[in-house]
Amino acid sequence: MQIEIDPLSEVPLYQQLRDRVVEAIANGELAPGEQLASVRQLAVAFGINVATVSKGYELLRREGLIRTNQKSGSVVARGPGSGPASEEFFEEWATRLRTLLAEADAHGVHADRITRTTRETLDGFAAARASHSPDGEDKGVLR
Amino acid sequence: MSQFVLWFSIAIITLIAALMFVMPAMVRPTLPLGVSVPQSRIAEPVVRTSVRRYRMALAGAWIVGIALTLLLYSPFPVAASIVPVLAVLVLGALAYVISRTAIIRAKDDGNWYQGVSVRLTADVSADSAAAHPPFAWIIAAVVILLAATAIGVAAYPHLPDPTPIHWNDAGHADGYAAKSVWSVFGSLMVGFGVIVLLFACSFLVRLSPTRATPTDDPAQQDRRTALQRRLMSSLLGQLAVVISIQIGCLAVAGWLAPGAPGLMVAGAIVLVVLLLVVLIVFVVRYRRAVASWSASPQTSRADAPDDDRYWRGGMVYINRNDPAVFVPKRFGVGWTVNLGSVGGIALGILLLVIVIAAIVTAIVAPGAGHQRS
Repeated sequence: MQIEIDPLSEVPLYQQLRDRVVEAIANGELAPGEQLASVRQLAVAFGINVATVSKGYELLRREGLIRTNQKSGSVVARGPGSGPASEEFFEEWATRLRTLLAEADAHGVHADRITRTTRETLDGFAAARASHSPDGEDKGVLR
Repeated sequence: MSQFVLWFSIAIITLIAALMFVMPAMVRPTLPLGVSVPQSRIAEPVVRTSVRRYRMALAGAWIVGIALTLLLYSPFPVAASIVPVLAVLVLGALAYVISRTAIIRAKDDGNWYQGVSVRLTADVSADSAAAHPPFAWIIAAVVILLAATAIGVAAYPHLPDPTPIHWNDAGHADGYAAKSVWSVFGSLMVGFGVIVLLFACSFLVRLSPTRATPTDDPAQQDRRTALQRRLMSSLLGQLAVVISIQIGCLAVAGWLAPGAPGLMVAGAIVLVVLLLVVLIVFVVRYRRAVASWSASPQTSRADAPDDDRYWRGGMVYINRNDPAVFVPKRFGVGWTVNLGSVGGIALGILLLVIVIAAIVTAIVAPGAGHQRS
């Protein structure tokens, strides 16, 4: 699964790396159990510092999205179909969502447009997932 | 010096010049003469004229190389096989360094990267495009050398003592040593060593790093990576076979038919031709493998970042932030070392020592032309 990061962006590279992996999990492009490139392999493939990639993986690990063990390296630990999120995660996420919604509100984005965009984005993830799952069946519809 | 060495030198010079000549067609179109440019600029007139100028200069370098060979051939036979090759390499490098400056200047003056969005791309999944080592070729090479060894073992009691260990360009024995396992089987041992080395290299190639760019379709990129690795890997296997045929045949001819100089010279010519065929087939197939670079006219949203500052002279890669020891060559086929990494510096020094040692040995050693066995 190919991901892209922007070396000129103000968003740090490790953060971009983490964001792209989270999106790929939501999209079904990275399924639970799938093996990821090692920190060093990925740093070599990008041509960036090993510490940057390590920091991105560390973020994902702390969030419980990937797990790393000596034998199989880093693997995707969960996905939309691996059961409900922890209450702890949800509260932390809701805080960040509050900031995002405040931004849209402050810039005068209409509430209808916010809900519509949210719906479309979620549907987009579900559709992408459906096309990626081997039996063509979507196991993780959020409704 | 026989005609054979003259023709051999001319063939080598022509091969080097031809490879440098086709090189602009073997690299990404966004790297004309190793200068990083955005997709929107690959058809700029300055790009086309620079490539044309580079090729004309190369044609000139080739003519100089041929002229030097013909001039040096009778007065300085040893120099005639080294100096023209070095001249073509140096002139070719100069042609590259000088012709690319026009593109660099146009790029800087025109701010080609202004407002262009750039991305770094990589595959986050575990690598699956590893090529198989060239087992079949390596086994064939080992079998050939073992067959030669078997013939040698059978012939050993009948070999003269001292036994010939070196033949001149006309195919006559001119070097002898006391008969022993080393003097009889020495060249075969070197052959086995070379095969082991090539086999080891094929393991490096199968997992060799590749650099993805956002301008390529990911699926196509995976296929191309796999194909490039497979081609490089089988090239190493084919070289092992050609080398083992060469060493095996020369050894057997030396034991069984020491009085047939024509046979040895003919054999050497056939093997040089075989080597050329292997190389030409590789270039053609490699060219076809990378053809999709130029065959994808649709432009993607983002470009690869301008990384010219890490490429000194467009040839030497120095990037302290890049953990890669090997990176794909800027302008060429295969890999080069990152002199910004510890492993790269160590390898660079090692290579330099080997090259200097080889040149010094060739120039200083008495009868340099007779060291080959």
